[in-house]
Amino acid sequence: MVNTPEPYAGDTKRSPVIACIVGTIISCILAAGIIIAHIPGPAPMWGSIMWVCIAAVLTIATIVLILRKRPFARKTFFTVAKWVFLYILVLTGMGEYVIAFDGTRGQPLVVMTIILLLFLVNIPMLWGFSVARHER
Amino acid sequence: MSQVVGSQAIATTPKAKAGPFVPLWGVAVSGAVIVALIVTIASNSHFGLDFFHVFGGALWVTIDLFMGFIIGPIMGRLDIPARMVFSKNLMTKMMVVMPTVVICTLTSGWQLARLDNLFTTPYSPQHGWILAALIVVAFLAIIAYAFLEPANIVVLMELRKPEPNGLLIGRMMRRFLYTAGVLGILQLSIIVIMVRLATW
Repeated sequence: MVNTPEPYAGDTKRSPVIACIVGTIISCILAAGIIIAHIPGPAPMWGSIMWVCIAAVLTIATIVLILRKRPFARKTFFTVAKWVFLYILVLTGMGEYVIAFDGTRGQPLVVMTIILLLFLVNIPMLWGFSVARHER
Repeated sequence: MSQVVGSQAIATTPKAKAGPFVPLWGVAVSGAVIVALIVTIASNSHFGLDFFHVFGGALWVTIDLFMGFIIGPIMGRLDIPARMVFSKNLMTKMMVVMPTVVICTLTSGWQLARLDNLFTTPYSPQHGWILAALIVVAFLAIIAYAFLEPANIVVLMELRKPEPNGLLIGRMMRRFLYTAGVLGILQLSIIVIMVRLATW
């Protein structure tokens, strides 16, 4: 009797990496939403800062999870992530330009910049991981 | 059965060719459009911002609806080899078009709302509608960045391999088409919000 191998349809398991990155994106949107909802008036910053902190912790968790993943197609991960990074750099660069151009200064500018930086790190990781996880 | 289909797909699909991931002429056009957008924002041109927002928004909504409700069902009925060839040609161009359209629509829309004082406090009557638009855009962003684009890239990367995995491509294309449909429905709500704002 010959056992035919099961056809491989990619990694179908739920991944904590994806969960962490989606959590980060939602936290960033909530943090930015609090500031945007109050523009041009002053926003209560504690809410935004709390969500940014949650996003930062989730980002660190994501990096640790990716570093600990074995086996993992790192080459594929970086091949995708570097081009996505370039695209998100243009996107976040435009965002930062518009926010600064409109005269946002002080704490809101710092928080918005951190949010954009978190996006800049997380989206390339998400897209790179989404491709690399299916490699055998 | 699906394994047989996958093997047939691999056998009948043209071998992957090494080359740029996306069309380079498209990247050049995209760069020129973004430079024009920066100049428009810097000059605070109301006409220019309106043009970028309406043109970009119309393209974005139309492409999402067309992909979700017209191309999606058609692709679902194609056999896997045809679907792979079609995906390869379509997705490489979409990788250039969609990011440019999204950047133009969102950035010019934000600036327009600022110029038209739609963010001012005490709250204008339109403020709630602007917030509604931002909330829908937030959902669009989460779905697009977390589910739709990764599926798109997995398909593109797989199609560049000498022996693409038909099963994986099929699974990812299903995900791509479902999420495109959800985005299409969200886009309909954006149309309602934008028409309400434009006819206030």
